[in-house]
Amino acid sequence: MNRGALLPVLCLVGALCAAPARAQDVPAQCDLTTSTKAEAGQDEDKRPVVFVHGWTGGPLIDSANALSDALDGKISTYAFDYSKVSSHWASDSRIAPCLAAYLGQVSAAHRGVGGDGRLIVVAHSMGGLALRYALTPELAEKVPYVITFGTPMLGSPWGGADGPSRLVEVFQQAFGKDLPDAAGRDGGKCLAEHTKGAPLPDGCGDLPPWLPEGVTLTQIGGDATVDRTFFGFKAYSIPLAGDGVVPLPSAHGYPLSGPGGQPPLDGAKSYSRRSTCSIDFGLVNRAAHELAFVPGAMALDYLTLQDIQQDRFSLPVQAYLGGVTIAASCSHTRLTTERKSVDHAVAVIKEALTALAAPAGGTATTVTNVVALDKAGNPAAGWAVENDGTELDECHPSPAAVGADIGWCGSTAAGALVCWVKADRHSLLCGDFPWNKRLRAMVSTKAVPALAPPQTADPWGLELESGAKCLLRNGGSWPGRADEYVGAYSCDDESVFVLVGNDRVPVDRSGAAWTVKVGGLSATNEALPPPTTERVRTAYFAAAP
Amino acid sequence: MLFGGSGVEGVATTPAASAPSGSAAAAPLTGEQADELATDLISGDEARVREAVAVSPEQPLEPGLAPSLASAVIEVDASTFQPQPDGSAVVAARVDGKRWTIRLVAVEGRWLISSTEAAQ
Repeated sequence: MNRGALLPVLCLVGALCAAPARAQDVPAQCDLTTSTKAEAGQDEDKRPVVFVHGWTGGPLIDSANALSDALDGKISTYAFDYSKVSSHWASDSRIAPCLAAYLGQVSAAHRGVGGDGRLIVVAHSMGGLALRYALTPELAEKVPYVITFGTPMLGSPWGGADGPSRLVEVFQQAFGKDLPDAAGRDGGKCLAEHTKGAPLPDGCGDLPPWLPEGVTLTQIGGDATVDRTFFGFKAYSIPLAGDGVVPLPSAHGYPLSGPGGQPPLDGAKSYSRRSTCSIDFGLVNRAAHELAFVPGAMALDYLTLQDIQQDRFSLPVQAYLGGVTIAASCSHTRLTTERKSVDHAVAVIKEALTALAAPAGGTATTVTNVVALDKAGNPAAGWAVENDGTELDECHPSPAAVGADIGWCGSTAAGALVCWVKADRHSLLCGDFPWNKRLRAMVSTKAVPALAPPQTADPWGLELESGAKCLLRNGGSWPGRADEYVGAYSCDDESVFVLVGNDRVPVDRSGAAWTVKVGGLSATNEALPPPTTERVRTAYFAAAP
Repeated sequence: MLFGGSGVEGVATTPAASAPSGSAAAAPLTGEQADELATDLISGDEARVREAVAVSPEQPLEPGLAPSLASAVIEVDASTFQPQPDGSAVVAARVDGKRWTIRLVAVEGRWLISSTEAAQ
C-alpha cells in the first residue's frame, strides 16, 4: 500500500471506531481530566447518561447532544474520554478500570445532589466491550441500562493480527495516540472475529465478561443495503447485514460472545435493535475510489459479490465496505448520530427513565427476615459454615434480632453482631452479612443466657434504592463530620454511610417505603454536604428458626 | 463472518473470466461507442442492457429495469470523456434532460457503466 493510499484508509478507520470526576478511588494510571466532570450538570431529577467511545475514537459529544436534545433535558450527559490510549484493547488498565472509576464518580455525584446514583451507559463500538470489562456486580447495581451502538461483540473482519487495523494505529500515533505493542493488548488485533467462547488472539487476555445480573442491554446495529441503480432505476440490491465495519450478527452477538459461549441464566437481559439504511452504489463507488488502495478501474460490485458470499475479506470487499462506511447513513461511523439509531436509543432511554423513576420492587420496602439455622440448629439450606474458633466473652440480644436467642457478642473485633445460639448455649453461628449466606462458628466461654429480642430491632443490613448495600454498625471507632450526624451503617466498603441525627433513628419507617439519610464521613470530622434521603429497597433482620 | 452473504442474491462471475481490466491501454470512448451504450440501455431488452453495464451475468436484475430505461431519453456525450488516475473514466450524460455523471470501467477492452450519479 503506497503512502497516498494509506491516508484515506486511515481516515476511513478513524471511522472504524468512532464516537469521559473524583472522590471515588481512581487508579493512578487513569487520566480523567478530559472526560466530562462528574459533578457537571448533576441534577436530582436528571438521569446521568455516560457515553463511551470506541477504538481509536474520541468523546461522543455529538451523540450526547443528539440524545439530550431528543429527551428534552431529562438526562445529563457525561463523555468518558480515553482517546489517548484508544488504540489499546478494551481491557487495558487505562481503559476499563478507569471507566469503572469514572462511572463510580458520576454515580456518587448524582447521589450528592439527591439523586439515586443510577446511570445509563451508551457505548459505541469497542466502548461497549470496555464497559463489559468494567462492570463488576457491585458497579452494575449503579448501571442498570446499557445501550451499545455497533459494538463488535463477536469482533470485526477488520480486526485481527493480520487485518488492516494496525496501520490505523500507526497512523493515529502521529496524532498523539499511544501505539500499543502488537504482541500485547493491541486493540485492532483483539477486535478479531470470534464466537461461542473461542479465545481472543494471543496477548489479548480473556473474553469480555458477561454483564452482571440486573443489567438490561440493548444492542443497536447498523444494517446497510446497497442499491445498484442506473440513472435512478434500480437494478438490484445487496443487503450487507452490517454497518461496513461490524456485521449485524456481531453487533447483536452478546449472547454468544462471552466466556464459555453461553450467558449465565441469571445474567443480564439483552435485546437487539436494527438501524437500516439504503445507499446508492454510485455513492459507495465514489467513496471507495477515494480510498487510494482501491486498484485501478475496480468495478467493485463486479468483483465483490463473490468474495462477500464466500466470506473472503479481499481488497475489493475492503474497498466496498470502506465505501459503505464512508457514505451510508447507518454506517459504523455515523451510527451514534444517525436519526434511526438515535430514535432507537431515545425509545430505550425513555423506557429506562420510566422504570428508574418507579421504586424498584414496588413502593414499599421489602422486609426480609434472615433465618440461618434450621430448627435442629444446623445451618439452613444454602448457608455455609467456616470454623472461626474465636472465643466470645459475653452475649447480649442482637440489635438486629426479631427472634429469640440471637446474640451480639463481644468483643467488637470479633464482628459477632448477629449470632445464632445453639442448644448447648456455648456454640454460636455468626453471620457477617445478611446477603451472603456465610456463617462463622464461634464459642462463648460462658453459657449464653436466654436472649429476648429488642422491642424495636434495627435492620441488620439495608439495600438502598441506589443498589448500595449497608451493614449495621458494630461499635468501633468511625470517622465523623462537623454536623450532628454520625454513622449508623457503612455501605459498599465505606464508600458511603447511612447517617443518624439527634433523633437516633437511623431508618424512617413512618411510611411503607422506608428511608434513610445517606452521606459521607471524614477522618478529620470535616464539614460535609448535608445528607440526602434515599429509599430502602430491602431491610434485613435476623430471625429465629 | 462477513457482511450479507446469505442475503446476497446471484453469483459474481469469476474475476478471471470477466474482471475489469483496469488497463491503461483502454482507448478513449468514441462517439460511436457512446451511442451504442445509450442504445443498449434504452433497448428494453435485459440482455442488451447487460451489454452496457458492469454487472455479473448471473446477477438477477429487477424486472422493471429494462422497461424503465427504455422509457428514458439517454444521451452520452463522448466529448466529455475523462480518464481517471485509477484507470476508470467518467463521462457526462443527459437523461430526460437531466445531467448525470457516468463512471466507466474497462472490461476486456470495452467501457461499461459501473455507476451513475446525478450531477450536482
